[in-house]
Amino acid sequence: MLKQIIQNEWRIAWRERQLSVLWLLIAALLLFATLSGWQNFQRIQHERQEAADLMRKKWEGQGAQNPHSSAHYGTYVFKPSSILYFLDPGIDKFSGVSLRLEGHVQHGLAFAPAAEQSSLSRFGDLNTGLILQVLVPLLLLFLAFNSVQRERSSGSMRLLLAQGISIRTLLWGKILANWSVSLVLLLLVVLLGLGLSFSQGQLTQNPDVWTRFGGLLLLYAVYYLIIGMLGIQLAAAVRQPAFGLLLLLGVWVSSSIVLPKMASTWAEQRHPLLGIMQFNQQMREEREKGLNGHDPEDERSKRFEQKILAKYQVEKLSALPINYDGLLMQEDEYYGNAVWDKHFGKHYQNLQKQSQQLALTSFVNPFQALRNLSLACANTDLYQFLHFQKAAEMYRRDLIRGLNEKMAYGGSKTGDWEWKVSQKWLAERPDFNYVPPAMGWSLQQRKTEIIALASWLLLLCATLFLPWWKAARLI
Amino acid sequence: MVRTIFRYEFKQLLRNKVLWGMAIFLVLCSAYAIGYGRRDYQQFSNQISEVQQKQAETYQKLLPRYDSLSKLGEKAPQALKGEYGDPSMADWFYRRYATWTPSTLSALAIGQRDQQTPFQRIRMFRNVLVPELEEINNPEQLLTGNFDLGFVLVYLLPLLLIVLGFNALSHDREQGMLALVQVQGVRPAQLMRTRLFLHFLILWGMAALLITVAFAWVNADWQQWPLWMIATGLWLLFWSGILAWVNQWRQSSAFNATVLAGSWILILILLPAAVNFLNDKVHPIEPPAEFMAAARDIEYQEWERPVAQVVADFRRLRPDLSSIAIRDTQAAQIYFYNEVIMSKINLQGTNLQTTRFKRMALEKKTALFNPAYAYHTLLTQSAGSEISNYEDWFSQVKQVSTQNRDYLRSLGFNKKLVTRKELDELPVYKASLTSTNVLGNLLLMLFLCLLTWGLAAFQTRKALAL
Repeated sequence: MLKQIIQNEWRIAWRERQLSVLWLLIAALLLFATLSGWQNFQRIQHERQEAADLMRKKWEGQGAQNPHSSAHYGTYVFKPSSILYFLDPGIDKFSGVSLRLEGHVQHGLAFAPAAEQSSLSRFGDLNTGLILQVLVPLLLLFLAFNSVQRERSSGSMRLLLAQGISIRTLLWGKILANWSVSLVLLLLVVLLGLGLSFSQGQLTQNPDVWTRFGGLLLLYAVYYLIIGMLGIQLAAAVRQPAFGLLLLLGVWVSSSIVLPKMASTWAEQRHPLLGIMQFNQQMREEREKGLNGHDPEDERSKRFEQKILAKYQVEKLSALPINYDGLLMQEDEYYGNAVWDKHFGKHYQNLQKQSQQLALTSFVNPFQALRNLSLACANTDLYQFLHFQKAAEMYRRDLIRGLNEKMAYGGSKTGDWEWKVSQKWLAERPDFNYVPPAMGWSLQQRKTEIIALASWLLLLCATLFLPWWKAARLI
Repeated sequence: MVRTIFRYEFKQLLRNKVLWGMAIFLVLCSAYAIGYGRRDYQQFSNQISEVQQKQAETYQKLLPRYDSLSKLGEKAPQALKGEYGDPSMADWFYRRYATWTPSTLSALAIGQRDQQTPFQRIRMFRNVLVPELEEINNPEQLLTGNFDLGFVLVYLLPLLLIVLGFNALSHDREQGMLALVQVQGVRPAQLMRTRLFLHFLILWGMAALLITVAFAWVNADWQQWPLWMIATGLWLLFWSGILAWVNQWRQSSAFNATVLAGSWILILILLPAAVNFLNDKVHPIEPPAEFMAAARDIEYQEWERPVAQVVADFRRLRPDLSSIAIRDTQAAQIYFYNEVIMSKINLQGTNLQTTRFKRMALEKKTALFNPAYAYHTLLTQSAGSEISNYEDWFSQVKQVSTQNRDYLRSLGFNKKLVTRKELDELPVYKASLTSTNVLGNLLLMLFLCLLTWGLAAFQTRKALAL
């Protein structure tokens, strides 16, 4: 019987001109967005690879240099985009793409493309994620309304129930029929996505890409089931057609447009971030006055000097067999690192708190869970952004330490700022090779959203079994 | 007859629970949005105040030294003269900032204010094209967007108008009332227009109330109030036109609701997204790697070049200053090298700004098909929080930076000691009002209103002909 209901729903939905046109429109938009998303991804990947190669070439071609000059010359690294960027570009546009790495200072990511744009950028972009997250659920709600209202107004609902079909079978039939309509749309994206991904073999060698791809599909399939159940139950619960439709549209607007903005600004206000001026001021002061505020830079330097002189058992810096300047600069780096760790650590914590606060709203709004998990599966979320920043900072610290140690132990003497290392030695410094986190790591950060989504699924399944559902309510 | 319909409909609406529900929803959303915008602006202005305070504190700290230099002149101790009397050192010690200060109205239309670093240090050796510091933000929050009054007016107001008027005619037809009304001499189009006009008035009235409260709450510039009211009125009128058009298709209420919801999605989600998409295709924003690499190389390599070459470059770049006699190699090194470095970097950075301008030009051109953006831009531009406002400020910063370099060069070349007088004459940024041209967008919205109402009138004629 369930199969027949599903078949019947499909047939009728296809005959409804409005719905079939809407379905075709969304399918066309999906194909277009996925294809152009792929082109975008390729362009961005190419640009960033080219930029990274240029910077590496510059580093390798800087000539013989004093190691400290090289540390100041520094380099830039570029955030690579995840292959699933073409399905959900996530925060990339707002997070900045390049990071300057140099001695003495930890920078944040710069050059966010959205900062170069007008406020039109805040209206959103045409991408597969937008269509899958916003338009497909709307189609599901329209389908739910149409499916219930049509049979109610024509009286066929009364007939079906009179023939002994249980209410639950009827509702499940409608839910599964609508769900399968959305799955076909998802299948279109899958097939196109697979074809495009296979065309770039080297990118898909990593099995994590496939895990993430599978994760995204499962996520959207579950979300559509939730929306399907919610839509059918709401449409069935409200008898007045116009009010029913308004209610469904209200649910859609609130969940995908109003609530996410409200929740996001609420999280931002609860855990405000420091302004850049204040943030830098605090770090500068702690570097100068010490982490405890009572250990000025000069005194720290004096203590360090005494320590080194004692270690090498000499009385003057000039008598040292090594270059003291290199050691002092590295000591200053260590101190600086502790300061950066404290302040950037606090900043990252605040960002994570905001994100966790947002995650909690998934229990009220399943769209929030979908969006966050979609970003996590596509590896384009806040946590990946922080992961990249930390990896780049670790690389900076290693690079600068190597340069300072070369300065100290490479054969120069204290005060010899003209001493240079060969271009070959500088070119041999390892390049930055970022390894993105695996799917398991990404999902670990999003446990709340997973639990929320599962809870919604269970809740809506449970409401279908409530004794509240009686034949009288449907007719 | 119209007056009777109007009075009757008004009474009906007052009894309508949906209207009251919507009014409460709108008020709650607006209250949250205004409260959020106000707190956000407070944080923003605190940051600006800190920057300005820092400049004032630096000045106060430096005063005793420069007063001594004024008093002692050339007789001042060498340490004081060398460290503080040198123009390039005075430029370094006296931290001056140019601050971008959109008006308090930007609490209601945040625009791009949250994405830009609102201050730049004015310094001779500063490449203004790359911000010294990037504003700290949560990119996930930026992606979601702000919940300000601008958002409520742009997104929610038309939605409420749709909820009120999607069945302006179909409801009566479905209830079998339309025929009865027609018998009494009322034309359906007249009935619908009166209803939509009433809905328009109610929502415009509510918007007026909210805008007035919001202006008072954030202490906004009241001169912008009429603009907000006119723009909001035109926005609602545009949507009323769409409602009038769709309502005359003689379809069911559910059909109307579907089409109107589709129009809302088209105008507020798909069209802006499509313009963004087009812009990304035509004028992609790339990480300015070549510029960054070139700027860094210029800064590093220029100092290695012989003075004669740099002087020749300087004369070529600044023919207006080619008569300056070179008496001092050190001064030439500091000021000429600096000028050459900045000119070369600016030349390299031209592309950076060109892309931004091209994107803005394309957005302007497509505004005709993008009414939501046209309305939103009116709000953000009047609040001074749009990217074009930032661009205006940025060109002022560049001007001050050039003035600063010119002034310091003239001091340096004349071997002038910096005293209190010169310190006070060092160029500082003074905010100047920039005029915002909103007329174009207003006319555009007016045209769109006429277009939708024209379509509705055409549909009425078609119906009458049938």
